[in-house]
Amino acid sequence: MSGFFGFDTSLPERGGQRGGGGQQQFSGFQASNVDETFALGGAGEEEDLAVYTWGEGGMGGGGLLEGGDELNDETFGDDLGEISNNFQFSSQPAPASTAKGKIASTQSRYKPKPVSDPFAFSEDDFYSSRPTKKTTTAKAPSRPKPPTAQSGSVENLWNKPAVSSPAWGTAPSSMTKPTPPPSASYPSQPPPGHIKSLEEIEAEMAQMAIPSTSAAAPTQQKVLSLEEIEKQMVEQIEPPRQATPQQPAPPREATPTQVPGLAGSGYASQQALLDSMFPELGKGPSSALGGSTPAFPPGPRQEGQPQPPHPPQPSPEELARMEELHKRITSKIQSMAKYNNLMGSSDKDFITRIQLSQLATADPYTSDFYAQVFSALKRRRMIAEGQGDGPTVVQVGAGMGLGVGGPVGNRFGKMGQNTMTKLSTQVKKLVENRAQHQKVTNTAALQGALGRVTRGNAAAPRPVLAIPTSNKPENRPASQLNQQTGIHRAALTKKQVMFALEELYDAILELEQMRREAPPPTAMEEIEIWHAKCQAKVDIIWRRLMVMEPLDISNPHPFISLINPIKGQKLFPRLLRHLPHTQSITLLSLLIATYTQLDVVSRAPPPPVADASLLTKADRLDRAKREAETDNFLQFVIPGVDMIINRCGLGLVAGMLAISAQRSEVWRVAATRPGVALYTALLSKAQSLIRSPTPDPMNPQPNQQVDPAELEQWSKTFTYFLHVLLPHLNDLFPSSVAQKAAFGPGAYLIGGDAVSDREGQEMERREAEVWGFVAVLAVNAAEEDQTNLVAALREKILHTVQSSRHPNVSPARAEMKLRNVNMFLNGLGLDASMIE
Amino acid sequence: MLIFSFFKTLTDQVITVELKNDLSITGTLKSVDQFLNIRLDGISVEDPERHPHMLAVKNCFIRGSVVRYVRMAARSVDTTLLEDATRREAKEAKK
Repeated sequence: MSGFFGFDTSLPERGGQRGGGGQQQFSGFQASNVDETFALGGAGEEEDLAVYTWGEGGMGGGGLLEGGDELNDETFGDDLGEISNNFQFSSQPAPASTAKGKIASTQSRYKPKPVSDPFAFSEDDFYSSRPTKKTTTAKAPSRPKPPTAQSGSVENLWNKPAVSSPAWGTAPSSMTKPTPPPSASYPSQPPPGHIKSLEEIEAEMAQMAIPSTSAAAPTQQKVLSLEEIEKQMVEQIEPPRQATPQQPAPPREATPTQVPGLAGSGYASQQALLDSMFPELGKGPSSALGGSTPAFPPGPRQEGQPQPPHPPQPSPEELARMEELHKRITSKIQSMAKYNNLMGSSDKDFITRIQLSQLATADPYTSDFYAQVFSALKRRRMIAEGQGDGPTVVQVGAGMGLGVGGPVGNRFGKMGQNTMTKLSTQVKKLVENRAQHQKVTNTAALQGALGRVTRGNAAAPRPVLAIPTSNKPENRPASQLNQQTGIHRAALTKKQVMFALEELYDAILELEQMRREAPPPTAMEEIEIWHAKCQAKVDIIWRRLMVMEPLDISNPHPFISLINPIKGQKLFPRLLRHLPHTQSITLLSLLIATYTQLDVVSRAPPPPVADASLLTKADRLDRAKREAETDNFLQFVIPGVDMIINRCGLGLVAGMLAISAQRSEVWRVAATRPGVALYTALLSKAQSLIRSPTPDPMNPQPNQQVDPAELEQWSKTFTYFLHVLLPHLNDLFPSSVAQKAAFGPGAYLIGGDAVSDREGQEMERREAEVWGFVAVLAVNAAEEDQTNLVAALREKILHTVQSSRHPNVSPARAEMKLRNVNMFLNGLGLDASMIE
Repeated sequence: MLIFSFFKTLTDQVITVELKNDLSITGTLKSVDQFLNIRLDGISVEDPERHPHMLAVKNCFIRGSVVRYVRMAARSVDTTLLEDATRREAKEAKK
């Protein structure tokens, strides 16, 4: 249907028709179906919907599946009847048709006013008007012609073009089009004096069915002008007359929704409701309605019959009838008006439906990644907690689905499973259609021939539903950075690091997506292909990690550069999950060998100062940043490191410790929190391997006896390590470092009682890390080394124990201090309580 | 679609929507669409004295364009995932 939202915007054409003799009025007159009038043209609604559901060119006019409207009551609940009854004129055939007759006749004289919009936004209109629209479109071209004969005859029946002109003639001129002279309106009309038989009339009415529907769109425009008309009407009140000459049945057939479904269930009750709302109206039209729709109530017809001879004069009956119709319409409009700005529950459901249709995507993991993964994670959590639930993705086709998102299955209220399935078939169809369409209009061949082919301008808007056709193969060198030659080169710049990290993230995301799309375990070939693809991806990631670059290629090593920013640290655990064991060992060796290059080690946060106000702002920010980096490193990287170390044998652990001792000054590394964490992990793993040769319950090889050679190597390495470390042991403790770093008045504050309890406890927590480390040292050390160890730490131990007994130290902190010391002492079979 | 996707995960959670007219509405998010229109249930208004007309309203539909802020509990947001989703979105846009 042409026109804007179903309005006939083609004024000139209408003018032509008018000139041609006023049939248009009459076609409107009869054709008017109230539901069409109020529904605002199904076309408008249809177009809206088309936009929402991607009903584009490929779909054709009525492409969307829209069956089973009888179930709407079920789907949307019966509260439909409560509010929206007022809007649902379609369910009330007889009054509707009469009312409509009036509207139409007035309408043809007034300019369109689109104000009736709100009505069409109710869902009921949406549904009821859709089929109507189809028929309308189909028949639209024939509109101008058919009405001539029939409308003329009907008018004969009603015999009042003439009636209407005096009645409406006084309407505001600004809104009127000139009324065509009555005589011009029925060229093909039988002589005025001719009286038709009932059969003739009925036959004509039946014929009128088709043209009447097609004329619906133009008619609807006049609705609003009624108020003015009504004013005038009021002045001319005459006794109402029962007359509903038009037979509504034939037009109805063109709008399938209305007939059978409504008549059965909701119709009767709605009728009753309307009757109760308009009791005075109920008598006349509804009687005709309720019955077998007699074409003419005998009484009025008798009266009406004599009139045809004098068409130009308005008969009192005509006026009365029209006036009654107008009153009815007005009262209806008024009764509806109070709901004008409110949404009924059906309106809300309608919007929900639109919203629901938005959930359909080509690839739920692409356009709806967050919701999909989030709900998947949530589901896993819930299942772990023993709660079941429904699926989150409603699969529509291969790689196509509805992302429902949240964990709640049926959260669309009354829009139940029914709607969901209906919708998914629609979407499926849409997708297939679109896929075909895309194949045809593939512009890839033109790419580059005319420069860059841009997507999405006014002429060729970007399709709402774009199905990815192919993935471009990556044809850039695996690592641009590898192209440089030479043994030494500059460290990666910050920008390079960030780019490299983003590429890594992309690769990881793709890999994770691949893993998620694992084929079913039965399809052997697919699984092999899938494995190969995953492996290829892992290789790419491995290359991008640049772990295999020569150790001294730059300072920091490219891999260390990657892991320095917090972003890279966060990537670390996800990376490890995909790397095979050997590669992760390689990675760990590299990490340990270049540990000193890590920002968190080389630029470890300085010891805290007693008075933060002594620092400049930049200084404070820098400290905060370094603290944050360290915290993140401990949170993200160290667990991964622990995991790899746990899979190592003693020989490997010894080797790693040796590398570290060789390549770095261990006391410097050990003075940082990441260093302490690393060494603690290494040493405790070694100890557990030495103590219990078969420590791994997951790996029940009966005798994993520690190789004596490995043991030998370990003890040698460890002894060396300990001796390097011993002179610096006191410097490992943060409190000692802070004490040393403090100067001026701060020196008295630090470690003293002035420090707030919260900061103090934080300090103890960090001390605990170091105490844990020295405890592991003690456990690993041979006996004479243990004595050395205690000697080196003697002062520290005494100081800590004493300060824990100081009255100014809070009990909580004192307890922490004692626990810290005991961690170490217990390893040696001692206890803090033995110290006086 | 990223933000839309994000808001979908907030359904059935209590959020506070601050409108551009300074009206702040707290309620359970029932649904959201691609325009970020929001349906709230069981709503309460932050400053009822200033907005007495909202007292009787139990649920509402908010047009997305009038929303200034949406406040939600931090634990209902997975930041890492959101970052990843952003990456994917950016990649899609580049294609």
